[in-house]
Amino acid sequence: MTQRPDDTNPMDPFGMMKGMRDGNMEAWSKMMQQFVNTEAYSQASGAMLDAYLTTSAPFRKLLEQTMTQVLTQFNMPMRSDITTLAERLTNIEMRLDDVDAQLTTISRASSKSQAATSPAPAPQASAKVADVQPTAEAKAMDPVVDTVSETGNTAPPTNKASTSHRSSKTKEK
Amino acid sequence: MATQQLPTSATDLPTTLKQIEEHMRTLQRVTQTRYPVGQTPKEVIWTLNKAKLYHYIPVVPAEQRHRIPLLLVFATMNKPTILDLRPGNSFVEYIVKQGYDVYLLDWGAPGPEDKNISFDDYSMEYLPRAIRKLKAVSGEDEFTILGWCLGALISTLYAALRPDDGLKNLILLTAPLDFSDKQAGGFIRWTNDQNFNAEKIVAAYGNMPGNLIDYGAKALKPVENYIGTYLNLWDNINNPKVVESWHAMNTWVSDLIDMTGASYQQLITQFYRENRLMNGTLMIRGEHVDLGHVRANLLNMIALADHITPVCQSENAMPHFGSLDKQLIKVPGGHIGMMAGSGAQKRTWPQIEGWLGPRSN
Repeated sequence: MTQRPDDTNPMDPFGMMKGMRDGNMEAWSKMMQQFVNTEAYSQASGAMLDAYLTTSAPFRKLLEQTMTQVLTQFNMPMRSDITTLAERLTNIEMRLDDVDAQLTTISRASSKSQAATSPAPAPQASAKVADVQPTAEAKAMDPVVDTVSETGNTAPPTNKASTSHRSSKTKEK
Repeated sequence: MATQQLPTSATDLPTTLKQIEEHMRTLQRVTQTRYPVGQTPKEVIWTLNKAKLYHYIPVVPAEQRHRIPLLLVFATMNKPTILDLRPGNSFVEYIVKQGYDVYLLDWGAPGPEDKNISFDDYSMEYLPRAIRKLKAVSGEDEFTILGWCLGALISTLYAALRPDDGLKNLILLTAPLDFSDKQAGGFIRWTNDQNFNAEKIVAAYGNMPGNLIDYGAKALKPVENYIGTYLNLWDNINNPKVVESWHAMNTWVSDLIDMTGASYQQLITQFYRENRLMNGTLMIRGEHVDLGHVRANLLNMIALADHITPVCQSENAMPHFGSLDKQLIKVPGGHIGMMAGSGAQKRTWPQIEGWLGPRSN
């Protein structure tokens, strides 16, 4: 049996419903957007939230007190104990992060001074080192640099070399 | 179209029922399972508390890459996977292919222990540390930040407070900065109502619950968000591309995270109500925030149909920036659609790349 188009098929209630839906949806959406942007809606939603928070506050307090007593009785840590521990851990993490950054700086400075005091390598090798030497981190991050640096380079990695390498890049799109 | 035809003969009935069953199965799959968002290859190079800094594995040879690395900073109350939604529709994938060294700062999901983290901490503790690591790994002293939504606000605070830290380019997407117009959009109306008490919410929950934030965002366009989106899926349920796209977006939308109590309270009080950033009275870690101190090249992108950050909240802030090189671009689309919608790869992404390319070498 040949099917007629959706909008004219009396046997297709879904198609008819869709037509009606599409016709009304935009107007409905606009109306709702205007409604939620009114002062009345702001006041009503604010008041409802406030009422909920006010009425539930005593129950929350009671629950908290009960939990505190129960956990104390069972010699178990409370939420505040865990929170304090977590905050202390974050502080330790920050200190470790600072130590890590300082170590990186020291290691780079030391590599630079080492490179400055070491005898100059043969001209061919020197060019190779300056061109392709990445930092240890860059090596870890960058498979392309890593492949290039595996060409027999034995000098300690320096950040300067890495920077000059990256600076010499040209954009080709 | 998934519109069901009533069977016009007895022989059509089994086919129609089978089709309906198949559609219901698809519907169940996309609404109840997670799409594998964030598939672009990356590795974690730094962590602090819940925050992580990712580095995306470059796909362009080193000598063809842009010199200046790009750091992506998304909002604190949603997952940053929206920047890497699905293969073929991922800003991260696109920008990595354009030859950028891309990093992404994921703030993570805060727990009760993080309720005291404020914008002061995000902009002056977490972000600078992540940048320090980025510099160490990339070997570059200069960098670009692309901040989106509250990520743009945090990036702006950082840019104003640390103008000498190497920030060369600042890209802001839908940045909520100027709250002087108290009638501009639902959020500002609701939060300025005397009955709305952010302190009370934070006192009750510690952090601002993700589902409350989600409700607020969806209530701005209730018909589209609660009905229209499902109707759109049903209409296109025979189209695998649309279904996949819907599945990915639904996964991101449903991935709710809380917002830390202190930052939420600060956002409502100091930004939405008192507009301190524009009034010049905002203090972060005891330092006065002056947008005139921002020196980085600035690209401010605004979505014309943004109902979360109305156009004026970004546009009006432009004259306050001290940057000599600054540009404002308005693109079609909504708050999320401008970067993750079907038209983003034709409209928004090329504009970002076109602006950033010449400034990244």
